[in-house]
Amino acid sequence: MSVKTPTLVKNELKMLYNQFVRTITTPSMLGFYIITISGALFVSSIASTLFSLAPLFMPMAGLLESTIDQAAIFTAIGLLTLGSVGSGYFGVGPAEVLESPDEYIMMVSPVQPHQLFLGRYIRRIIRKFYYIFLGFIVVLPIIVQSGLVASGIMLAILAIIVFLEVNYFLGGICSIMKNKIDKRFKTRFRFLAFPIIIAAAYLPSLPVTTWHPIFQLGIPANQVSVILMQLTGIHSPGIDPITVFVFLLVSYFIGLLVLTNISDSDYYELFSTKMSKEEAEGSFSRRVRGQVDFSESRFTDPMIWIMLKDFWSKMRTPLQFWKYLYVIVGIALGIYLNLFQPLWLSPLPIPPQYTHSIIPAFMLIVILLTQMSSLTSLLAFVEEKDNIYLLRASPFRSKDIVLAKYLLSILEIGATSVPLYLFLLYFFRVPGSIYLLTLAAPMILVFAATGIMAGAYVPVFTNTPKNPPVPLAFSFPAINLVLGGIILWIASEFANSTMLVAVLPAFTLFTVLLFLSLSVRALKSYK
Amino acid sequence: MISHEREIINSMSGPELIRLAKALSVPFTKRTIKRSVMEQSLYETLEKIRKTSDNELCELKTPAINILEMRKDFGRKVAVRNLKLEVNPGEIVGLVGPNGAGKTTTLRVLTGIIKPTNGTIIVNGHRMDKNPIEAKMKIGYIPERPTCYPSLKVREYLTFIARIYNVPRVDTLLRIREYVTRFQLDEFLNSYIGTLSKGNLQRTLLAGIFVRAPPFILALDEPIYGLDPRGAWSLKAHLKELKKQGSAILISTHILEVAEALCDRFYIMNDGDIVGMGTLDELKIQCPDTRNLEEVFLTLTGGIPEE
Ligand SMILES: Nc1ncnc2c1ncn2[C@@H]1O[C@H](COP(=O)(O)OP(=O)(O)OP(=O)(O)O)[C@@H](O)[C@H]1O
Ligand SMILES: [Mg+2]
Repeated sequence: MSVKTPTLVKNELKMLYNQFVRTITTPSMLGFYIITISGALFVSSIASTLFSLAPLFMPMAGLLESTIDQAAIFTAIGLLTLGSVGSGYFGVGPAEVLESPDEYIMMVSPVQPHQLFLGRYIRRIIRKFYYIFLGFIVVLPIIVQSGLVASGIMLAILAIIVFLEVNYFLGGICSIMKNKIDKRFKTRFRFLAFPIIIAAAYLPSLPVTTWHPIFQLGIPANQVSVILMQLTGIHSPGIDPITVFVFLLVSYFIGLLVLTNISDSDYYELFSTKMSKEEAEGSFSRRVRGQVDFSESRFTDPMIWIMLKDFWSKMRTPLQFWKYLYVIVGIALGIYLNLFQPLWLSPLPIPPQYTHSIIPAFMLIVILLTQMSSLTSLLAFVEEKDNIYLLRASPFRSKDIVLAKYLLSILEIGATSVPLYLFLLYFFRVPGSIYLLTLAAPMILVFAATGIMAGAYVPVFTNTPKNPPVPLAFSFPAINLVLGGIILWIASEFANSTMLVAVLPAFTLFTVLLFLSLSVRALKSYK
Repeated sequence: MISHEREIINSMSGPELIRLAKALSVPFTKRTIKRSVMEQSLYETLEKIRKTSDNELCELKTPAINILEMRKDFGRKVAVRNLKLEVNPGEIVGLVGPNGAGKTTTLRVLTGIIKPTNGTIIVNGHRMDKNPIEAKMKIGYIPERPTCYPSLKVREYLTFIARIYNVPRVDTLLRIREYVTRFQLDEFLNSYIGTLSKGNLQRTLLAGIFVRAPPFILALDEPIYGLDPRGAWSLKAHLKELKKQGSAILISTHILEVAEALCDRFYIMNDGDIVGMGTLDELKIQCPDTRNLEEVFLTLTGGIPEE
């Protein structure tokens, strides 16, 4: 009568395998993969040359050891657990691993809720390891060049991943607890559960407990702290990191088993509510779309209108609010730091003999920060989900759609990266950094365009525009890193000639136009 | 029944025959074999198995679907209020009502996706809150907006579903062939579900329900919508056949002509309430001066608009 869990797991593996086969048999997808891997390899081999600067970082370890004490490290890493317990309490817990077809197929079928969770979770963890493996290959040149011990880095990465998974379990357990408490008790006292859980999650990371070896080895957050301290040599407690990793694995399996065992059909309901909320939002924005009258001034308005629509529909998501808050506070703080140079927060000390060779490192950081903020442009089309077809069918020219998305992305990227640049300027005192930083402007322009292009191609590859195919998402940073490198190269090559004012803008304009016209082509080729 | 299976075997492709032979553990010693010989020996083995095992159709409990005083709230909004609904084996019941009446919500509660705020759901004699696994064993559900796992192939999906519902391997193979033929899915058997059109996706989901052993308890949310005329026709024909074999079927729909032609009884919902129930004749008596289901529907859900 009962369904066996291996059947479900086998099906998950089948799906993974099919996805893989589909990827490597679709030439365009394969193309994106190859771009990703070769681009990333190229960049990481450039980056690896920076490790001739390694001596620079050596004193830093000593510096860290003298400024931070061991207890502070435990307390800081404990914050991660605290965060995931806190957000998990209000989150959907085990429902996070479900997909929309599950609602209609698996929830209706005679499968136990915990079996469904386990099957889905196993797929998720396999996928994760697959990506980590790809990532590891990509950073291999850096590891080899820097003479770091590959096994040590592997262990550190594994420990962090396992730790994050343990945190996910803890958050899921809290979410289930919240549901049970809400069902059982109707009094206001039930809100007390939240502070109690939070306190219980953080107490083992506070100095009152972390001095004791039992807490160091028994609590996941502390286990990771010990492993990292041991591997970096900062306050190394002198315990074999492998042993601690085994302890961490034990925590992982305890977490997995507990969460699996307490998953019951309540989480179906959570998932289904989450899905219908998503749908409700979609239908709302459709209504907004229906009410706007395009009959007048059709040629100038649509672009601004799409931008306004995007801006407001983004504002509706809670994350966006925090983002803008971060921009405002970040800029204020950045200006304050740069103007007043407070004593309590001093910049990184850079020994004089390195001041010049540090410039490439500085620029690499600029590229990475810009790349990080420009993720929004990749999402510009993805966030439309299925509405993208509606937008495509509405009386807009593809050109206007692309341009509107592009302009809004530039604004967003600019806003989110300014605080980062300000911090960088303050902490990383490099001669001429202000002038170097002007190169961020062409980078933003170019990165936004590649993001838009990658996003626009999503519906060409898949008919579920909600989930961008992985190679696309990965090729985006790879392309950007290469383009960023080219911009740097142009800047350094023409540094002493007035040609720079012609060549750099020309290159920027050319790449931007190229990618935007590719986006328009992508948009036109939707079925 | 037996000759019916012979027909299915005849329509199977070569690889399918080999799979069936493996499932039946029919040994083939020669490298090549004539198709007719193979069919014959498969058929004989199958007949033997059918004779020895007591192949009785299990019957559904009466009523097959029993919803008692069910209420579902979403926050402050009442989606369904004090619903009492029964469907017996051998019956097709229509759940009709305007948009937002609560039909989909009713079906989602019935299938155990969401829990009712109040009330009890009993499916085939099992309470959904106490024995969900037993209750779900017989349910087949077609959602309002069909979705499925995009990276499975149609055949893989059907086999997976058969596994979940504990269908023996031999029956799985036979039924997949039967319903793939019936719903014209042949050319898509090896395509990824993510690449199917909406109607073909719907057909795949339907085939997924029917790989299980009859009789069924079906909860179909707008099943006709999205199918082409031929698909709609074969579904309707099949539903009537299932009804004869003792399945209990609950259909939510807006298409009143279909409902009128297909259903024995109706529940008319409006704004979370049942505003009318019974056979068409009973409803016509309830609402004098009405000639068909459409007029009954309009009368009960806000009056017939003036021309
Ligand atoms: N998850 C939800 N959260 C809030 N309200 C909901 C939710 N699901 C349904 N509703 C509300 O419950 C009511 C009934 O919805 P339901 O989907 O059952 O209607 P329906 O009869 O299927 O309509 P249609 O004919 O349009 O499919 C509607 O008012 C709807 O807005
Ligand atoms: Mg509905």
